[in-house]
Amino acid sequence: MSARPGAVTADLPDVNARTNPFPVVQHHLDQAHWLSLYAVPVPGHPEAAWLTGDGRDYFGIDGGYGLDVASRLHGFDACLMPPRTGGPRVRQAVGKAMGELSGRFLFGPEDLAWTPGREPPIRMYDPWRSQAFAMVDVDVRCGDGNDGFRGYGVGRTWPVSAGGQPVVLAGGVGDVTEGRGKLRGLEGTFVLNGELHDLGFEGSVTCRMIDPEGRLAARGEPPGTTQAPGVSPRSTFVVMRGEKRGPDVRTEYGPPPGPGLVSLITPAQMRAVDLRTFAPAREGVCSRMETGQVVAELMANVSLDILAPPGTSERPNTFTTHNRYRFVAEGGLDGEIGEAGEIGEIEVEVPLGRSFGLRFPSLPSQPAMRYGGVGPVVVGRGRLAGAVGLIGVNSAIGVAPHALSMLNVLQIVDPDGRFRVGTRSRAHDA
Amino acid sequence: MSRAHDSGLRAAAPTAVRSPEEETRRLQALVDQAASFDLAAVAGSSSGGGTVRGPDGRGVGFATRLELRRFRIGLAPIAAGGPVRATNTASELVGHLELDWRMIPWSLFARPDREPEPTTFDPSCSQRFAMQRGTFFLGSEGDGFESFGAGRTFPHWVAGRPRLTAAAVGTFTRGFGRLEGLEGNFTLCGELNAERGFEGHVMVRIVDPENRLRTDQPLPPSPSAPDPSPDVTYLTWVARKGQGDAWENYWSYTPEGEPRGVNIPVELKRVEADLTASGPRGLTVRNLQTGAVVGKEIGFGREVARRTERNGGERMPFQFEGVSEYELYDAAGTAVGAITANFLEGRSIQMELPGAAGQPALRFGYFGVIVGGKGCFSGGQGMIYGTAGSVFAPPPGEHVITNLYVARLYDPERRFRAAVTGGGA
Repeated sequence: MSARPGAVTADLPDVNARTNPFPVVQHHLDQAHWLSLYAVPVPGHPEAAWLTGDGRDYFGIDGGYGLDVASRLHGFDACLMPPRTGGPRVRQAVGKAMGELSGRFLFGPEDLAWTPGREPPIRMYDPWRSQAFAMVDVDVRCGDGNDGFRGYGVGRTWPVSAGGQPVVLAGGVGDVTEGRGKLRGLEGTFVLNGELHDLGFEGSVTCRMIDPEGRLAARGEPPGTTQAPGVSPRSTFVVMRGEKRGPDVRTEYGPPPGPGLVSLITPAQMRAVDLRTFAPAREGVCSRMETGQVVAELMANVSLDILAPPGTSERPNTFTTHNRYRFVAEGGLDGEIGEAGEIGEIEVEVPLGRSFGLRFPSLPSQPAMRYGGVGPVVVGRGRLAGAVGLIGVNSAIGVAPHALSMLNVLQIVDPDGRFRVGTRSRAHDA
Repeated sequence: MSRAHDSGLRAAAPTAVRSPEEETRRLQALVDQAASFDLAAVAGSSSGGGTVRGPDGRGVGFATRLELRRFRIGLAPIAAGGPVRATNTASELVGHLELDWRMIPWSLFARPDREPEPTTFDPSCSQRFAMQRGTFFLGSEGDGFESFGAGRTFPHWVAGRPRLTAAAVGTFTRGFGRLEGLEGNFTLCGELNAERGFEGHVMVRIVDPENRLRTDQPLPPSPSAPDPSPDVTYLTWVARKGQGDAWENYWSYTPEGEPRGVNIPVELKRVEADLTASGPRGLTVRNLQTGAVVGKEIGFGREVARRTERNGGERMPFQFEGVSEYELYDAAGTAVGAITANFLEGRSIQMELPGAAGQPALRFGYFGVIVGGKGCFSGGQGMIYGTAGSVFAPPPGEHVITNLYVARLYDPERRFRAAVTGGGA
């Protein structure tokens, strides 16, 4: 199979075809709610943690062949402010705890397979080497604990040096295998990107739940986010909503990246979002997202087997993507982006991507997929030169037409808070 | 790190009619016919970092000459509630070490007869290196050994600045002087930097069935030298099997019922190792002086490559790994803290144990990273490593072991350091 940029061959589907009108597909994709949370390791949990049920089997020593993860889930307020020439600035606050994440991250071989219900072939945790891991027995509990889900997924570590300081970046993609409470019966994808430290996971957790009934829609205003004491993220998280600029923006085939794979060159625009997850006492977990202005242009080069049968919970499809985010300053937004408006670029490689077929009951002929992926920042330019971090993508797309409903969480290791401007309350005070 | 096998070993061959306890004691005594000692490796004032540069001018290794000093680690009595403390005393010059290290790719199988392709030294990430040549000169009588080994670097962040830990396992390739014909191995752990090259601690274990080097007598003290690593504390203990069923090894199984490794519990005891180069016989090593039980190790271990006809020797040792938790007790037997370490690289070499022909004997070295700490070790950073000798048959077979451990802890606040009394070592 070969293709030149822009060409649609007889063998390949026209991803821009209008099986259904673009706005209709976009509308169906957007029938979802994202939960955006921040995981903080439960203090002292490793003191008694064990990977296996039997404390007599020393394979279960926590930290050896895996991590028995227990993190508190906090409300997360990470809102990208209108960028200025100084670089991206995020108003970031980790609010009070509103749930828990538990599970076992079991390290496995480089070619770690997706095997829900089974443990992977064993590998020892080495904090200095990039390693694959399976996320087994994942359990997320929100609010009073009645709302939540169980899940399975795969992940990877990326040890990096941030100003000489070793940091074990870690991310993963998972499938919601069983929802509870308000999430009962919903399908969804969860994505983690953060870091491993003290035998625990800290970072962003996003859950994208297909929610045509709007169960997770917030009825009221989210409460203010007060920074939880004792929680001080080392990273800044840039949360962005991605979509096509308009129905006529085409996705093109690029040079085939390998046997059986196609390259989809996908332009999109990324908007700042104010994404808040909270759990009012009588309402349970809910979410509200307000989309702001365009803050970056995205050019994604996605490699996948476009002819593969839709991925399933038992056997998702794999993909990789190379994303280039070109951040623009205030004044260079929503219209033409001039050189003067550029404030920096980030390129990321997402080697770990999993996609799941998605069907809309009212559009039975419309192919679509939900997907998640994680990968490291590989290049930063301009004000983002030298940036180290991870991207987490938790999204859905239509195929023919190629409508996008994306959420990207760009994590930049930022111990000095260079890209942060304080919390919402401080911003309001100012 | 407890040694484990998953295949290939012969059952212990009975050599005489002895009770199992007598046979175990006999094997233990034979395993302990070894000279084990600690050395401080310190860059001399004129040695420089000794950076070896590749064709592009970038550093690809280190070729240095290090002073070797007598080094004693004295675990202090553990007070109720901890912490665990030790004296670390460097003293007389006992020799020097000529070392030639080369950074190597992860995929390279290092060999002493094959020079690796240049690989650029990068202190920001963990790298492997081969100790292509390491010649130890011990004492003044022309005793020593040549060696080969391999190891890794580990970037750490301590008290707000980066530190590059280096650890390696090596084996003798040729003994000379009084060490001629002896086999042995060593493990080293310290720090690497471009200015001074490697500095740190070396623990050596020489199989010494003819008692060429050893004595039971205390060695004369010698004046202390400057502390070679004031913001690091070394702790030491020795692991041996306790008596009774609670110390038996047993298999660990996967959820599918397949054996994946061996669970190995051992007692941890106080120990003292010492040597001098100024004895009447030149290099003299005191037999390990073992004291009271100070803790317990629970460990899981496995071999990571299948045994074949070709491996298990000096050129291609068996490779093993594992995870262990070391819990240390105060005098009342109450735990004061625990360390969890992942043993990422272990190398074991089959040997004929003199006096116990046919027994599955091994000598080995290993190093691991501390991944967690409890109690007084909470937040601790560093390495655990060691040298050992054993007779090991898979469960429920015989396991006799003397495993000399050192924990190298970054200790800028000197929480784990005990004051030296008496002024010498």
